[in-house]
Amino acid sequence: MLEAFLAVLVIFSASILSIKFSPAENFESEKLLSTLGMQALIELDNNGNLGKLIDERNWTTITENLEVLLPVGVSYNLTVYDYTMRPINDFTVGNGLKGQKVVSVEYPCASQSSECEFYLARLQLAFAG
Amino acid sequence: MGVLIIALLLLATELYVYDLGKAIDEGNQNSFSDFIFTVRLGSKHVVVGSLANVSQGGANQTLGINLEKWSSFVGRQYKFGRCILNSTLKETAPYSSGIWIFWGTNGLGISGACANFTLKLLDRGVDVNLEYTINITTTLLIQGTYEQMQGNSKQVNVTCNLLNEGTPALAENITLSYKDLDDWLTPGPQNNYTVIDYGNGTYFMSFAADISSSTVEVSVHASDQREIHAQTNTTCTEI
Repeated sequence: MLEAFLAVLVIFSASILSIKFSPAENFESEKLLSTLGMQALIELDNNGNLGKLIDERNWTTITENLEVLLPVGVSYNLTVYDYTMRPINDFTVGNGLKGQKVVSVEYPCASQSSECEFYLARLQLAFAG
Repeated sequence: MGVLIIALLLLATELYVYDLGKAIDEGNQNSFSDFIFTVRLGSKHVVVGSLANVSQGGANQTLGINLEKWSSFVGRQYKFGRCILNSTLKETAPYSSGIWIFWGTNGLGISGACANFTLKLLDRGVDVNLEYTINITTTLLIQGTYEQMQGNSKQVNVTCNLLNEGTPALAENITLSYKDLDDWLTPGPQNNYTVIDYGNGTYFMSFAADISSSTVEVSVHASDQREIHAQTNTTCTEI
């Protein structure tokens, strides 16, 4: 009898713990971060600005734009790769990635200039704090 | 009692796995739509960039070469399965290799590019087939009038309209020249050359010059903010 009672207690506690620390909830926050990151990159690239800024290696303006497009409390780090997947930003684009869970979004970008370069922008995001 | 507990445990686990699976599916759905959107946007940028290149004197084949490179690049970036992007350049008249350049002498200048795309995403249980067309056109329209002054002196007024895909667009730069005998000359301050930018893709230019011939021919070269170049000539009408 005692054994059955203990078994029920263990299962009940396990259920409560699994609900509290549900990976589905973590997944929701990952999804939110990923959506925020992708929306910021799409917004920045909508009229070809992202490709143009990368062409110019204008990391300062990219940082300023991302600061505006991403909500307060989101830390990020952007790495840009060229066609051969070689990282090209020699300047840290970001505000210091800090947070327990880091999400990465990848954005293939074509520059609108007459040289038509291709880049992959990898944006890592985390909720700071 | 033990059997009941085990059954409940199994049921709870199954429900949990089902719920988690649903969440992952939703996540993938977002990834598909984001990826499709970025590929379409990138394709548009490639067409714009290639047209800018061709309109500035590049080879017509530039569009096809850039699109092939873009397809190969995109195909390598899709992480959830296979991505196949194919493009077909428009070949029906007036297009050739997806490019249409018409810089006429009737006040109309067109630089255009058009390509059809098919995008296939193959994943576990997902088969996305999407077709889309990217058509980019920069149109320059000019109209000119002149007034005969003393001797050969003429007061010339030219109105330009710049359009992107049929809607008014701003110019990055715009230059005017006029023909005197066989030479094309650029009016300057000595000609009281003025340009009024109405801010809606309409530009009004006026100047005064000694033009020997009885007709006044003007030429306008313009680039829009996407670096696409267009030019056209026209013969001004006397007022």
